[in-house]
Amino acid sequence: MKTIHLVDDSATMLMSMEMLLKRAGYDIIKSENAEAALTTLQSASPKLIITDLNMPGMNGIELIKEIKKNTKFRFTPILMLTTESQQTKREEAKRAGATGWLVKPVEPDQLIAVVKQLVP
Amino acid sequence: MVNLREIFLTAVARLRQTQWYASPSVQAAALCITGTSIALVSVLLINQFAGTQLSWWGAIICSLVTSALWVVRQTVAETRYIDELETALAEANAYLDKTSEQLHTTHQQVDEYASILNGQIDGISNITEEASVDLMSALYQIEEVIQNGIDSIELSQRNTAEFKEESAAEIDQANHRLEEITQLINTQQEHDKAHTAAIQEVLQEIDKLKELTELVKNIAFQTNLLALNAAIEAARAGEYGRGFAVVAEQVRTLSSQSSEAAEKIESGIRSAMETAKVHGEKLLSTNQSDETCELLTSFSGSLASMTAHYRRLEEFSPRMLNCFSGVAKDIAGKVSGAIGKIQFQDIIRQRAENVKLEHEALVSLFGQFSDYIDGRKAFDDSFNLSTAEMFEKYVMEDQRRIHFDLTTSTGEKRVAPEETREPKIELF
Repeated sequence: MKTIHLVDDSATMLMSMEMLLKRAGYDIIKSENAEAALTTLQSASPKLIITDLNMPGMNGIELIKEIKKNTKFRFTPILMLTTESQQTKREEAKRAGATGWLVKPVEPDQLIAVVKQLVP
Repeated sequence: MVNLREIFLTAVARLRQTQWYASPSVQAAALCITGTSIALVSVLLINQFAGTQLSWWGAIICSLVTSALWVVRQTVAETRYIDELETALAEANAYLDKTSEQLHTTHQQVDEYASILNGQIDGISNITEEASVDLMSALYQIEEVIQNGIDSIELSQRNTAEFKEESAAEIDQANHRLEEITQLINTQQEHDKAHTAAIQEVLQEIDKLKELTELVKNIAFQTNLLALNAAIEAARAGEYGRGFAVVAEQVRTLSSQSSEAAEKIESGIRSAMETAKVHGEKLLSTNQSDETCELLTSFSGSLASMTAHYRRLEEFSPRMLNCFSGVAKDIAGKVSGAIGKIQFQDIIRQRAENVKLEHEALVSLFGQFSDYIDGRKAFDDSFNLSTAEMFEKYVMEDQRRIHFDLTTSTGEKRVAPEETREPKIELF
């Protein structure tokens, strides 16, 4: 089962990403913040996690650090999907264990291409 | 020594700062001391060079009285100046109190105003989010309808192909049967024509029998006349002709019987003719099959035409379905693109959040300004709004670009944002 976990505080982003990825044949789990995502990940094993950076409470980079503490997700790819474009933040996310960085708004075809590269 | 020097310099600096020498009393005292000193030096010099014995006390008292008068005058002037100064200070203080009070009130108003504006910004974010979700739901439904349409088209294409195969066999069979029926009708038509000709021939032959009956009737009539003449001649011969009269009578009877027989034959022929005509007409009426044949031929033509139309329709139908299928897929692609564009709502929401933050910073600064005025605090570096700090809070390239354009236009120097070179998608 090819499941993708989406984490974003924007209902619009969650819905649009869900629609695009479902059409490409993936199952979707959604969380509205990092804390809810960590709770969900206790029982779920997605093949890919796509998270926002700036969220109320824990931010995306802190979430990646928490996820990577769990050995179950050591090799699970994590993409940052954010409006943030600073190189310093990219470097920080890379050090935390992120697999890639996507700046909003991302073209649907490009998103699907990147996701298929990580979850064929 | 160094410490004493520093203490002295510090004391001088403080005295300079307080501007003690500007006080009229201090100036009067200094003048008094100076005047008394000059008077004493004058008495000393006069006594020395003129040999006189002027009293020191007279000079001192004179100088002191003059100085005292001067001091009184200056003190009165200073008192008046202080009163004016106190009045001005009181007025300034009252103005500051009023200003502070007004600032406090204005701060509360600005705070309320800012709360309303922030509420409006939240409202805009919520409305755009709801609209985006509704829009996406609508797009999702459109996409579902299109997908269902594509599925239906594909099913129709499969069904059409199956139907085409089945109907092609049936049409071939129908055409074959139609050809057989046409051949059968043509054969039947030829048979009917032959029958009609035969009946006509029989009727003509029967009609010829009527001439024979006329001939018999004519012979019977002539025979009767002959018998009558014979009877007359027999009567004229008398006794000798009696036997001939019997023969003439027998001939007349025979002639009468021949005439009756001819009548009966004629009646029989007429009856036979009528019967033959009735049956002949019945047989001829079967020639209505010509019309049936024509109708069937016409039907055959129509069926062949329909078959040709159907074959054209068969060719057109897949093209139409392929065209519709292509359009449906194109629309599905456009819907997908529209779903991607809806990400703009999240971008607007985040920028609105940033505007709210800076708005709150402005209101906070206003409150700080009010507190400073209220407490008569000195303004220091903490009282400041920094556009550099504002710049650091941006998350989007476009925000930094706008800030850069506006700050450079107002004279502030800033380095152009470099992240424009960063790719939108990067895999580490």
